[in-house]
Amino acid sequence: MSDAESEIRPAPREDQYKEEYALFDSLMDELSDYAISSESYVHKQPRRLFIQIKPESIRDVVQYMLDTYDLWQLSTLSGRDLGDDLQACYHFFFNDKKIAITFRLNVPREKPEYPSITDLVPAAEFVENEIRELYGLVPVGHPKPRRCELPENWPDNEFPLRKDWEDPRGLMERSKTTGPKPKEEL
Amino acid sequence: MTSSEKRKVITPPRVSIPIGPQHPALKEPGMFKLTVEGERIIDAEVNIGYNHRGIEKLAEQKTFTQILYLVERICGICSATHNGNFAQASEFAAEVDIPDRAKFIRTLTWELERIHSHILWLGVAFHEVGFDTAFMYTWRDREVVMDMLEDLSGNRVNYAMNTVGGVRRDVSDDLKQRHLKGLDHLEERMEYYRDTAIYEKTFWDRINGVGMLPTSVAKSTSAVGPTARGSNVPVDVRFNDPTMAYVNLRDSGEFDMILSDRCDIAGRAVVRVLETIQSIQMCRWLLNNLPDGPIRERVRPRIQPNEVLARYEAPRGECIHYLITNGTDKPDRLKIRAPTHANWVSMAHTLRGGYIADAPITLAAIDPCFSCTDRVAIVDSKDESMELVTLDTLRVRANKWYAENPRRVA
Repeated sequence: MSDAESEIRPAPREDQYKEEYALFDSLMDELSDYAISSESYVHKQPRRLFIQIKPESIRDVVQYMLDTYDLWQLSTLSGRDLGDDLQACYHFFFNDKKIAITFRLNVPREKPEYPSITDLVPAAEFVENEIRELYGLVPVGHPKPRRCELPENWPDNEFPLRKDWEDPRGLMERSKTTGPKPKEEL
Repeated sequence: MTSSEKRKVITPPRVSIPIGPQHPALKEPGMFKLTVEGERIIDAEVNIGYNHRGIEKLAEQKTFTQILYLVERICGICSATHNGNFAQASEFAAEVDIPDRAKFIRTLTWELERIHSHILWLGVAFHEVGFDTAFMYTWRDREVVMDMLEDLSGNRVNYAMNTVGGVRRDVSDDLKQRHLKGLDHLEERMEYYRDTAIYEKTFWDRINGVGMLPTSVAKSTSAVGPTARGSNVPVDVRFNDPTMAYVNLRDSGEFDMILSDRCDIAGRAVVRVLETIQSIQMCRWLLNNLPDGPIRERVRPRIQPNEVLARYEAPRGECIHYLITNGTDKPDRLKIRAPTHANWVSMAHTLRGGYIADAPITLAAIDPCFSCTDRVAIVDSKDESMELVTLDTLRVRANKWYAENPRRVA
């Protein structure tokens, strides 16, 4: 039930979604070298586009969108653990047409690397650092890689938001939901 | 008289001054490393992460109804923001259309929250420039809107107004009359503060031309909220991407986005003050046009696989909840981007080139909310190993300590 295909809920080609489909069709045409059309769609929620792209082409796509559409507003970057792959979603908002565009890219778990876009969009500085420490997704070529959210002495090979992060120090077992520890152990 | 030949030009050395994580000028933990030359700030670096609590990880283990109350605790000032935005994200994911009355009441809570948050900011701004009389005046009048929120929801903070599928409390006719009366009082006071902020020289001279953020920089760093609108960047989710009753408010044609082309702290202050007055008018419009009907729709606890990007204009800017559901009663992934997190990059720009004495008001001008930005707390022990101390452990340790060290009575 939780496979990735079933999440895709494309909108019907109706009048209500006219503007979204107009933008979507022109984008899929112009970005045909970079986009993966089988996983890109217009969402049923109004004003939402999801476009799956090849990981190595993120810089070309962002540069193209900046030059052609002046897509300046990067809202945020969210990561996701898909099992074999890790996913990075760049959420942009297109202010001229008032449509939110999400560029998603999947990278293999063994080598989770893709080019950074911080030099093109300075707003990505903090979020790209954040995804590196929480998911282990490495934006290669980030101008200022540093710790921003986790403590300085957090181990380098642990990424807490991955699904298989199994709490090596047993921190969560002591939480209140599983009951307090007996007094003598404290 | 000294001879001019022997005059020496002294270049002041570059000094690095850390402000924070704990500092009298900051009420919350954040670290700003300023490099100064004399009194000029040459470079600024923002360091966050002192308040990270792991809410995104925790949300993956809780049901949708539980998360409503969890995300509310991200921030005390904008609790209705996260609560309402998560509720609407779940409704979008379940593809449920909630009743109109519920939409109006949810929007009313949001707008009342914006009024209290903006008045709070105005008070803090007055305080940061040393104008404490106005700080106390504004916070006294903020009590009016706090009481209204308590009247509406039962709580002064953490309103818990929303549920998945609607709202939890209805608005009676008596309550409506009381609110209209309170709004009249607030509008009168806010007009007075607007004039105070603009015509009072002691305040205006401290914010005029300070903390410049040019439009181009605001765009490239993706600033949000009043910070961006004070630099003439038209970003306001209420008008650009409206949900709930903002659709009705936009269609009524009575409200427009408030912008300022001043690009300094004065611009941000003017935007906030005018927005407060606009919010008061919006609340009055919502109360006068409140439709009849039920206030909630039943939603099944299991939500079909879906992914939604819910956006809402919080008092500080755009708040995003990216929710992925997988058919169970728990989400697969919840990403929360609170507004202050988007403003850190532009913050470094506003600090550069200013005076060190203006740093507190420049920092306060984006209305920073540190809980907005961080979410995992780890308590370090003395050696390098890490330890997370639970509430139970703390309680036991505290009891032990107090048992060993009985309180001395004078």
